[in-house]
Amino acid sequence: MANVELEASLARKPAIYLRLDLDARSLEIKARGAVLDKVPVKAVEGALRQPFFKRVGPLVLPVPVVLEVTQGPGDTDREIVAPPSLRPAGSSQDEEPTPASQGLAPTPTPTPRPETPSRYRVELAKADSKGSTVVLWVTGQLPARSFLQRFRQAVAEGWAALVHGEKVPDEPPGIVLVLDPEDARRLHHLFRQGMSILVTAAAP
Amino acid sequence: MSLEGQPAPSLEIPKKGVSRLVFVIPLALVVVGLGTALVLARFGNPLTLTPLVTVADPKLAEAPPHVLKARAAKAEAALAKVRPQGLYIVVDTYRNRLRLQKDGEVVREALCSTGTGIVLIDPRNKRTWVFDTPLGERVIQEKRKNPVWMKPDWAFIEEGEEPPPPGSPDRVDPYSLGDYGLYMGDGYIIHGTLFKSLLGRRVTHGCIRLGDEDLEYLYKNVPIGTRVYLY
Repeated sequence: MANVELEASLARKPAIYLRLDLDARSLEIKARGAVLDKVPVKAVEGALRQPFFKRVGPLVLPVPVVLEVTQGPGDTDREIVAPPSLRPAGSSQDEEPTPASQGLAPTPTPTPRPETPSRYRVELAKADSKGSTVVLWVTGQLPARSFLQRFRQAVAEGWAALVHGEKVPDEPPGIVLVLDPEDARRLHHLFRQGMSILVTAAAP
Repeated sequence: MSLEGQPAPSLEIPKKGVSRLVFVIPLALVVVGLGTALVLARFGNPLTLTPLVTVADPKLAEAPPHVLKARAAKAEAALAKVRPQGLYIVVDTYRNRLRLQKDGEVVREALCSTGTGIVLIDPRNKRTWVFDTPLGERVIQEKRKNPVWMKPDWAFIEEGEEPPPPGSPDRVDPYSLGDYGLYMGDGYIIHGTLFKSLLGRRVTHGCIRLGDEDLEYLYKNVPIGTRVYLY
């Protein structure tokens, strides 16, 4: 019931929103209540970035909940073009008409663009209270689960922090979303400020 | 024997001592290494998986079933009211595909080109443009045959030229938009292209480019007021 109520409130706006079903492991791209596209989710888990020797408790998420992107890769991963200076207008008026001006332009070669990342981090906040932040890690595989792998990672991070002064900052609790790399790229541009994500699960 | 008749001190390590060192040195190295690793690990902050436990809103658990049922029915009705029906257009800006759908079924699918997402900065005043195809819902507001493009400032700045004054004939481009234009507001248009081989790629300034046949089909079959969903 609460799922439908929250979705109805999202569908009132002319915006795209995502619906993440934790139990069905599905992510839908939606607008006005209609499914525009579906993205299969390989795995979804809770995650915390915390000291190695601290005991990990479960991540408790009240559902359904609407989370809003406060900063995502769709905001930050952008190419910027800035010509250093501009030529005066009409400086090419005396030139012969170019094929482009006659509709016979040769096809330009677009500048090759870097491939869209398939692993990225999205900052989310509960739509009704901007204070509590949740991080969404979109990745191709779950972080290391075994003791040895986590220990090795902790040692590497400790070395970086002590020797190189590169301390990994504390992170708010988060959700790890494991997607096929191509699916992660498809979603990359949608994670921009203001995008709403309705997170649902079957009633516990 | 030394001159004093005393035995000279032996430089050889007794066999028993050697065999002890073989164990002690590696053991000491392991202990030091492990100790260092433990100290370093204390300063690490690794991402650790943890069970994701979902909890329901306690207020809902307390509400009587008939109240919940009535609220659900009301929300379903609200959703049904806004859900797209009839003919509508869906644009996937990552895959560069445009779909014309009728009641959820795909009527026609076409290769298109959408916005690059590049940010352009005017060097004179730092004004910026973001070449995104807008996301969300739009409406076909107007349709035009043989549309003429009045080139905006960014079209000149991108080429490293100062923009001519507003209304200047230098801004008039009767070729670039192709045979038809379907206007979605704020300068965003579904139009044709001179560069057919770039269809399927993100190369535009935010508009949606289509091939000639698909554009003609859309122009002839999509009425004004048709909704467009861009994601």
